[in-house]
Amino acid sequence: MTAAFSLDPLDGYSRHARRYDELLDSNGTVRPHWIPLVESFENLGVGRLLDRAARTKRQLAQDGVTYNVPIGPDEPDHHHHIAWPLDPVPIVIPDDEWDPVRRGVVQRAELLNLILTDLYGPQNLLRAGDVAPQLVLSDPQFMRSLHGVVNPGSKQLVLAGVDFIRAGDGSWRVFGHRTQVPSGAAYALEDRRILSRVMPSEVEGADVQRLAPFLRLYRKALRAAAPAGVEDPVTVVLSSGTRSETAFEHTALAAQLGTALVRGPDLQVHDDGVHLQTVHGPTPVHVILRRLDAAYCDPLELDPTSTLGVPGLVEAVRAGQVTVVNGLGAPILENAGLTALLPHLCRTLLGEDLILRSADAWWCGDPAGRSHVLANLDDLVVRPVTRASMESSIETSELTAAQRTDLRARIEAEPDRFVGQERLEPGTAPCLTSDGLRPRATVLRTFAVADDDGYFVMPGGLARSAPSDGDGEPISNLTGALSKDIWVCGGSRELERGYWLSADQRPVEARRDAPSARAAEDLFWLGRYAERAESTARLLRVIRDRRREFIANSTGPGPVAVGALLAGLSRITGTFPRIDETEAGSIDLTSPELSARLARIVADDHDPGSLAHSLHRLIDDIDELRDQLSVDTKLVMADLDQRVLDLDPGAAVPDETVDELLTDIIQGLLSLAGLVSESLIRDEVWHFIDAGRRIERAVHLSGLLAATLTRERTAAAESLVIESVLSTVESIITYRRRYRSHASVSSVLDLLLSDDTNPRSLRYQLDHIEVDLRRLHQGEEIPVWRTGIPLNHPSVTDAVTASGTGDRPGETPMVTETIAAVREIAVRLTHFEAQLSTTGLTPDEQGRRLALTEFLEDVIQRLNFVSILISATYFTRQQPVRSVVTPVDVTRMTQSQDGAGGQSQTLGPPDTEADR
Amino acid sequence: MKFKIVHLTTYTYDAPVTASFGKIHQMPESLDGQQCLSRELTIEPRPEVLSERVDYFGNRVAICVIRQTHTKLVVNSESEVDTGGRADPVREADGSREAAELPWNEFRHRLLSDDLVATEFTLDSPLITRSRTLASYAEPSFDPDRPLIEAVRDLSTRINRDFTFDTKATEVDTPLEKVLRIRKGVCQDFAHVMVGGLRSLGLPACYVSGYLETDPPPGKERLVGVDRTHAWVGLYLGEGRWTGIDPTNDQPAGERYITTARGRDYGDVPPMKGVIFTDAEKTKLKVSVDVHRI
Repeated sequence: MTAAFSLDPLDGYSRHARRYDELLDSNGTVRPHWIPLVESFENLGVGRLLDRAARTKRQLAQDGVTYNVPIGPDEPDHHHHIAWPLDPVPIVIPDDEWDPVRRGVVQRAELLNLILTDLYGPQNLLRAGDVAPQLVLSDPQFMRSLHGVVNPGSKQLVLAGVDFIRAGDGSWRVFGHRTQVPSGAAYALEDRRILSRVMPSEVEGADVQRLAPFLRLYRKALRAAAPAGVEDPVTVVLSSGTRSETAFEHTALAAQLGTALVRGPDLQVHDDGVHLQTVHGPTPVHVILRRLDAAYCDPLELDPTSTLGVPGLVEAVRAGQVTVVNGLGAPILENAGLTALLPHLCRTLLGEDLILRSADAWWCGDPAGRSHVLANLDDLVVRPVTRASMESSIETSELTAAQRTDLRARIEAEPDRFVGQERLEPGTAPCLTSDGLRPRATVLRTFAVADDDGYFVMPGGLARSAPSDGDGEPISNLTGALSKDIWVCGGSRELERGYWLSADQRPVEARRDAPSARAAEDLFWLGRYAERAESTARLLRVIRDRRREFIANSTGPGPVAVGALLAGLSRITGTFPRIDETEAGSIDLTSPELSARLARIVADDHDPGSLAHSLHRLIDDIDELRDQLSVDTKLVMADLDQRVLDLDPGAAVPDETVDELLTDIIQGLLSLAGLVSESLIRDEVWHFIDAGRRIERAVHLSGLLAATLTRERTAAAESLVIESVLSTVESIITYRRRYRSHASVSSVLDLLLSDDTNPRSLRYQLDHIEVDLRRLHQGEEIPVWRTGIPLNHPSVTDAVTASGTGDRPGETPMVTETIAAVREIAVRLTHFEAQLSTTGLTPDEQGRRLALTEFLEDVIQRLNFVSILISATYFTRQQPVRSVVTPVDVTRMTQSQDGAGGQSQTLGPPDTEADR
Repeated sequence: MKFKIVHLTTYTYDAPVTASFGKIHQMPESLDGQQCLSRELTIEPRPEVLSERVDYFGNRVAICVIRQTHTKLVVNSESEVDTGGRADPVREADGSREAAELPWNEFRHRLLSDDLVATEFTLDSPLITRSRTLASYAEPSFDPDRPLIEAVRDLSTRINRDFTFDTKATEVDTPLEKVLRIRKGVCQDFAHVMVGGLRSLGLPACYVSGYLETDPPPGKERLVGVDRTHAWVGLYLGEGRWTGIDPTNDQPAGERYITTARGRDYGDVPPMKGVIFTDAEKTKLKVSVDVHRI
């Protein structure tokens, strides 16, 4: 046992003199409510505590808990997945100390709800001057098109997040609240889940209040927000996509709430409300849990540049057909000037003082506030009034003298735009470091959800601690803050039980919603990318083996075979420059360009044919589909995720580790395939994945065969090519068993094209695609024997134009066409098999097997056609969205008198031609 | 005066549009001293959703959703309006006479106390930001003792004189500072300059979108469909009353002006704006307006 292992975790823990410390009181004694946990930690010692930290980290990785940070200002669309950091040491708060938080957060939610209701209604606060009108009317977050809208449900504000700290005297102080998209609740639930696994006895021993009731009430609140008369409302989570900073939370919430995760383009406004496009047609949606900033939710009435929203959504909300939670007007409550007024508004509206004291704040638009802020600038944090500008708070202590002068000038020029807020000193909480526990500055966030006539507060929340003991540094995800679980301990459980058994929680009828059109598309592509990655990895592995084997040869069967395989690789990956078979014989196996090229196909994410690209897309799809797949998918993906990081071109993978990496990747992909095959029920989800996988496999196989076996070679070279192809498609063992060492193209084709028992054969893929399509259709019997659809058949073009309009999957023609197109390939395969026994493989005078080439190329084209038909039948085809503005025509009376209409002008978007 | 207005807008696209969403401000309300006698909006292809409401600023607005694939969209709005109730504020006998008599700054102070509308229209809006430059441009018209109406008329005259009407100089989204620098533009720009100048002095002003009856060229017959949509400035006089001034033609917006919408700036009230789903590269727009007396 090393010294570190037995080290007392509290050794060297010294609290900050001025700040409140959660663990130690001012005498340096452990606070009583921490004693059980501290004893347990002391028994464990630092070493085993660190083991727990490692387990925590592993579990988080397995659960796929991440957040995204932008890579840099140059690449706004690229984000890093960062592992969510969780300290295994919680914050322990006895119920009686938490009580003011509970009551204070309820009070604040009530207050914010009243303010929101007034601002979008009678505006008495503005008329009476309780709130300076320009504070609200100048804020772009005040959505005029939502004025007059009253959402169903008892509260206009359904969700709120409140940020607070522990002040030096042990009291709680609030420094902000979140109403736009209060985030963090799903992370808090996840943190608790992990800690319950990593330290079950501690959680149990401490009598920690459970978070589950919060989730239950969250669901209930969403149901309660449904439009009047809707019995069993359908709720969706509207996400901004996998690139959002809190994308994990979007998917986790959808999974925890049991709702579909959708994006703007999945939803459409119709005359009877908002519909979600599913693979079986549109279904109505009643409640939208918005994880997208309100301004982006409707390009028609809000931000016209948004492509993430649902045009017409505001109108549907106004018509009472759908409820958005939080409402589209809620962001105005994050106005810093309003926040500064809360103590006053609480007295005005509720006739009482705030239970939780706010950080003192002064709006500079008020002359007294302005002079206070300017006089005390160094002690304040300066915040822009509106959050629409995305400007962050200004920490005046970090400014240079020149910056401070500049800030002063800005405040004097536009006082209305700034608020000065007291700089709070957060208390500290113990965090685990390699030296044991250390105090770290800590901020807390908890959440309120509307419940009948009141609000319910999560008994706990999300705490975040500074990563080091540096003073005054901001505590945020971007600066590497740790997250911590908050344990509210003891207290009466009647409340909790009461909520558990809440009377109107009627059992909900099991409902298996059809996947949305977007989910279906992601599933289909999940299948395709997984298969693409696997076959690319296999082929790369075989090529690397063969190249090593024959690197000393400049001529002979070795280089010829490698050349043929490279032609296959360039064919199936579509990477350039193309290697085609005619030059295949002249490949120089030692050339550095070849090495570089192979390295690129492995690791260059920018090349759409690369292995890295397929894996990235696969991971994106799986992220997007978290709510559809089995929980263990995360286990498999955590590992693959790591391999993809290893592939990062910046990480310069050493050549000798590439083979191992390829094997690991293949292994990961096989685990994924196993999971898909063993853990998913055979509903639409599975059939879309399977159809994608089968089509991809058939295309790859045909491409590989077309690139390698359509040319006659010397017996030695042919045998080498055949063996390599068989290894690539994982059929070498079967082949040897069946045909022993006799290598012939016709027996290869027998195994790889015709054998309907070989899961790698073309026949097998076609059979299964057809089964998938029939199951997806779920409809009445489809006539099967239709042949002879030419590729230029109008159904292809029709399919494309019809998508998104009238032609829904329920109306059989498209489905019939698709199945018929698959059958047609099968028929052609049968014809070709007949041809094989006669002239199918006879080479022409230049050694080309033209019949085989022609057959394979036709198959590939037809498979692509099938893929297009599936897309057109089931997926949303997102057309470019354009916003159009009709300009004001202009008239100048005097000139109009000179010549009719001659002087008027039409202004418009640059490509708009005015025609007069 | 009574008018019948026919406002016909045709969009032609070079590829099918599968869905189209529109927000239309083309329907006169009974406000601003005008009486709307009838109005009718027809859209081809037939919208799946067509709903009307009165917006935050009191304008009638229509929202339409079209899901029928189309390459041509026709919006026809017809209305009959009586503008006989529109008073000339200078001759008006009621409270707004103060606007014609009191020094402008004194009147301004009366206006701004306790009036939410007044506050709303003195603030910055998305397309009009108050500035020192705008204030200095407007100031020469605003001698301390000058009554409001007189000062505003003078500002209108100066804009009309200083700015050149030039249809090529600006686009729909040309920033106000640029208009102020190049001193060229069209009615929308002139209205924005004037609204910005007034707001920079703390006066509540709005952007008005509407129609103007035009005279035929001398000796020629009146042609149908050659009138235009137009834009001018509304000056707030308190208690919900507005008066219009047209800097483009340097005259009060009298009975020949028909208001369709008032907003903080053009962005609040374009005659039609929308979102379409299409691969189309080009949109051809044809607008014809006919204003004739009945």
